[in-house]
Amino acid sequence: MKPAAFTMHRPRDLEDALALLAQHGAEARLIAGGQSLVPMMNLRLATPSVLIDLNGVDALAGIRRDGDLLRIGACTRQQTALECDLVQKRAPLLAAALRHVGHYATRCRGTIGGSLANADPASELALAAITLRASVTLRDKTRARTVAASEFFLDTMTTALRPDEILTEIVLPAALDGTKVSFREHARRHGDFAIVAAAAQHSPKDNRLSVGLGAISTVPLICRHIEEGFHAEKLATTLDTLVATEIAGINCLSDLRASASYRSKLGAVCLADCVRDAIL
Amino acid sequence: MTSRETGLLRVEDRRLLTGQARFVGDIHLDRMVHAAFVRSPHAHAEIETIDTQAAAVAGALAVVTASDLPFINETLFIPRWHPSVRKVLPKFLATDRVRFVGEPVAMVLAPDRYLAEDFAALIEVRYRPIAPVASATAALAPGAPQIHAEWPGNIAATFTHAVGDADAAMASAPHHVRRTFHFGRQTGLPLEARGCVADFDSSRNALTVWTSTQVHYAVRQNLAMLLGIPEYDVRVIADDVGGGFGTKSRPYVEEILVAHASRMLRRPVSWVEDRLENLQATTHSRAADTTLEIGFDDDGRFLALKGRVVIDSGAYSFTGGIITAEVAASHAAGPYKIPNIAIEVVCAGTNKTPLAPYRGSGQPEAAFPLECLIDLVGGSSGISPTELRLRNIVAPADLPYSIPSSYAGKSNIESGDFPAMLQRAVAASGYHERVETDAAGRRCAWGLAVGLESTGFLNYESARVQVDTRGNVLVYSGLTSHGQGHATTLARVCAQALGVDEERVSLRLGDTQLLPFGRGTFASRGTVVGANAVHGAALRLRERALVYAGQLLQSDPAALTIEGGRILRTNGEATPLGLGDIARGVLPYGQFHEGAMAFEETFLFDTKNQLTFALSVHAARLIVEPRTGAWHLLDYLVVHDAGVMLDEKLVEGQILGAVVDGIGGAMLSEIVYDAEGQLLTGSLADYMVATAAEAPRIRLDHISTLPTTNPLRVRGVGEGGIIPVAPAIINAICRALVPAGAVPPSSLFKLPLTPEAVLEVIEGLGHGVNAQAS
Amino acid sequence: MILRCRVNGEPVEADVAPRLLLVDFIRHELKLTGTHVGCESGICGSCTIIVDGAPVRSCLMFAVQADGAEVRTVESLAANNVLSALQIAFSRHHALQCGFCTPGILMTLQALRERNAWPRSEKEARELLSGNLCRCTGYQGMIDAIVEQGP
Repeated sequence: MKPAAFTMHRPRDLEDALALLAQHGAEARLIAGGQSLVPMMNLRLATPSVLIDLNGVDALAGIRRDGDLLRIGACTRQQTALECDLVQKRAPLLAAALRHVGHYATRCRGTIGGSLANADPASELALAAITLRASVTLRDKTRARTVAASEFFLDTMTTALRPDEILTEIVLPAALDGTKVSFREHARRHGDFAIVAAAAQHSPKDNRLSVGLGAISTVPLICRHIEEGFHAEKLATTLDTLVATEIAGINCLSDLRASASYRSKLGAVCLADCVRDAIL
Repeated sequence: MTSRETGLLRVEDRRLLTGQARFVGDIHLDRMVHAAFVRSPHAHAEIETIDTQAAAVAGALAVVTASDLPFINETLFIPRWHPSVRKVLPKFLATDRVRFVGEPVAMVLAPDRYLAEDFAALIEVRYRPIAPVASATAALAPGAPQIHAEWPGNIAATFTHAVGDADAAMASAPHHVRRTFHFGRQTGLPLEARGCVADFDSSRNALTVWTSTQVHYAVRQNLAMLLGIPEYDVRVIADDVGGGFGTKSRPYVEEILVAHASRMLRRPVSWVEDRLENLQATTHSRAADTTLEIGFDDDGRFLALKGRVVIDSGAYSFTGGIITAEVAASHAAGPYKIPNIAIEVVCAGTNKTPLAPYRGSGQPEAAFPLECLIDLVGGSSGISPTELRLRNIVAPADLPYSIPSSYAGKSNIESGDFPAMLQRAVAASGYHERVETDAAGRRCAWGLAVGLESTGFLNYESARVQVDTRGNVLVYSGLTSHGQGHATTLARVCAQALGVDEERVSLRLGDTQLLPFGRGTFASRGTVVGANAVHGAALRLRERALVYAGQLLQSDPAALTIEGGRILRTNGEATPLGLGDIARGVLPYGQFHEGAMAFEETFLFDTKNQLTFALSVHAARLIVEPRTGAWHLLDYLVVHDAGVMLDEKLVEGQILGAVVDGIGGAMLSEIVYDAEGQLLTGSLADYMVATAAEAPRIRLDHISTLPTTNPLRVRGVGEGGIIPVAPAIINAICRALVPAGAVPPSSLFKLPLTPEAVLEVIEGLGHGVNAQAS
Repeated sequence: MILRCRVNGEPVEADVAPRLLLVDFIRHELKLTGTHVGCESGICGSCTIIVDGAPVRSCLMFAVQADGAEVRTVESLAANNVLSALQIAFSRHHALQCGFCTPGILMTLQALRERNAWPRSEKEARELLSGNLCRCTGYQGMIDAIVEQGP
């Protein structure tokens, strides 16, 4: 399987990249890690006539602390983020999620932003992003806007990105000292696409519990019943009921990997285990 | 001359480790062009028109359709088919109809594969879809669309394998257990997909084809026959082959087409199958639904075995016919003494990829129902399954025990101690029949299964051993190698038989130019037939060498021996002679010259059509998470009898690889089609095989009894490791989940057994499972 | 598009189509056929090479994306034709049979070695290796070689 022909542009800065995107419109696709796009191109399921390679835009990579926030450039490699001290200390849930993303070699090339923009329902990073209440910066030629992660993922492989926008940065609140996280995933094999995944972060300092469920539906979901149940200090006795309520409200995916019925059962087990892990 | 590097296990290793191997995709020849195929996107359709003009205009070097082929009305050669097979072979390119997704419709030639795919996309084929037959059940239902006129009722073949009087014996048996088993459709999935490079030399009217095959001579025969070239002008080379597992044990239409293209264009042509093509158009296997019934007495002795096997055979019969069906039927009773057997086999035609052997080739399909059924008999009779096996398995006192088969005539189990192996497996593994539940509620149990492997199938293999005047030894073998290390083991066999150092032996195989006759490597035959062919040639050469040496030394040849390539007296005394001197004596101008051009022997090993059987016993310990149905293996032991092991590490490698293959088959692997016959598992994301993380550390234990079927006293080892894996696992899962006395639901006897299916079973068993303590 | 990079220490310059995959550039332009193609979707790992010190799937990169990069393939492992300790360990432990998956695995491990990320246990080794498929060996010999070579 070989890709169809295209012209390749390799801009060195973000402005050029944005200009190219504006110029070529729907004919163009952005390529960062390529771990999702190139398999589709090799099968000719994706046949863009223009490819804009973001790997040369240094400004798009990098991880830095900005007060209470962590800013991660979209083109930061997944493995780089996983190995980064700052991420392990101040975004431990992201680090936990990254361990489940693909395999070592795919993480060395795949990017944080690429996974989010791809918006596969099973994306671990998408789940971590919404759970952490992260936001993404989207830029076009003229302006930048910030979109909450929970509003970024609209449907399977569909995001709030406009055709002329590039996702440039992920911004998330830096975890406080003593934060406990849990990320659990069920897959057919180690490193495979998740069938269900759950993410939970407990911050004792401000007594907040954040919980999300992924791979179970078209987009990752914040588990508000459980979060509110925790806030109301009801969780210890009512977790199973709250889990059931969360799951009951979800339209579960059905595909070759798992039926909707199995996803809902597995989702309940995964979610309960994950939350217990985080608050114990 | 080879130099055996210290520390390396095999002569093959250096080139494989350093990227110096030569797989077909690695071949670059001057002026070489590339082929791509247009393949049917429909499971069942009539072809109305094929318009190749756009592709030609865009620059395709050639576009070939059925009407361009002079041999379109011929077929690949059929060596031998079961008499019940209703012959319908694949067409070289589809003529009026396509019958499975992936069936080749046109071939495009271009300077590179990228362009070839561009041109292929420009070829417009107009199809008129026909209702597809997407399952064996649908195929056999009345009123189903008919795939071939030659297959009334969509039955590609049907026969019964019978021994004794199973109807009567079953009717009079005091007890019965009968269940249904489903073995999903799977495929061998070698990591190197198929491919070939054809180079027709128009100046000499000679054809060379490098192809990723297990059966180079069969490919040569077909090329010669279909292209009208004398066989001696066709050379087929199987250089390095990246795995075969049965999927490359048949000639394919693409090999003929690529050679035809080379002759047509007068340029070398390369075709490398991509993974999507491999999943669509390389043969599938398994896909067997079996209903099996055992009749037994109060002592648990098996009296009768009756079964019906329906195989989802796909859209055509491949050149091997229904070999997996024949093997499955012939080995339905495995290694057990069951005097009355009747297995009815129905091969149902469907609009799917055709079937052919895949590691085990019908033996896993037979072992799965049988070994699970025996555990069920244990459950219902109150006799432990291990005891049942001991009471019924062929024992030394029963030897020779005849196993009739439709594919290989009658062969005997003439050696082996099966009861001892069973007991050894139980003892060495720690196998027990209890269920252990841990604090988290996970349930852990052992499962056991036995697999009888037939090895050394398909008679005749060739070898030539030649010694030069320096004492170097050259061996030619008719085998191919796709990972087995035959170049290493056969060189060793030669060295030991001839009396030379292994380092002085160079071995070539995988090339039809080496020997006028050969077969190749498949059906676990390499060691039995290939090594024995080398052994036979080397022994004869040794004998002749000693006769000549005796003349030179004025000694009785019986008082001489060969060691390290030197002639020695049997009392250890050196002589001035080496093998090289003998060779010089035989060649022209030498004192023993009688017209020979080399000091060599050619040998054709004859198995006398006797199979060599091998048994293995597998014990699997696994743990099931009742909340999710997920299960994984904790421990795994294989007791194996390979007879003489030419290289213990290589034997173990074969077993380990086969076991892990089988674990994937029990856990993960399934080729899935939808109701329209569309292949849903078209990538390795969807067709899953075991990775290092799914396999536990596998413990190996060998016993060695010596077969009498061949001089080297070896047993083949390529497939035994996969045969009992699935039932060992399913038996463990049954034991872990199903309370004593309860009937395991049939959804447990379905491969691959997914966590989802297991969870459904757990929920169905409900209260009983949670109440079951260890 | 012009591509300038270093492959196994040697400078390379070529003019290639943008869509030419890096694995095909290596195999068919440079004739370094040790790197293999098994799936073209990044799953089997047989195309794994090292680019700028990281193990990557060369079937998922376009050759032009390697512009300016240090590329290393399996052919670089045996310096002066002397097999590396890992290569010898693979042979001794029978970690290869047909050899098709072997280069991708060797390069993955070589990269881990250089990045101080060598698996520290059998469990870790199995998880790390799960990104490379093998159909012949059952992986056990590879695990033995990895454990023996140590972090």
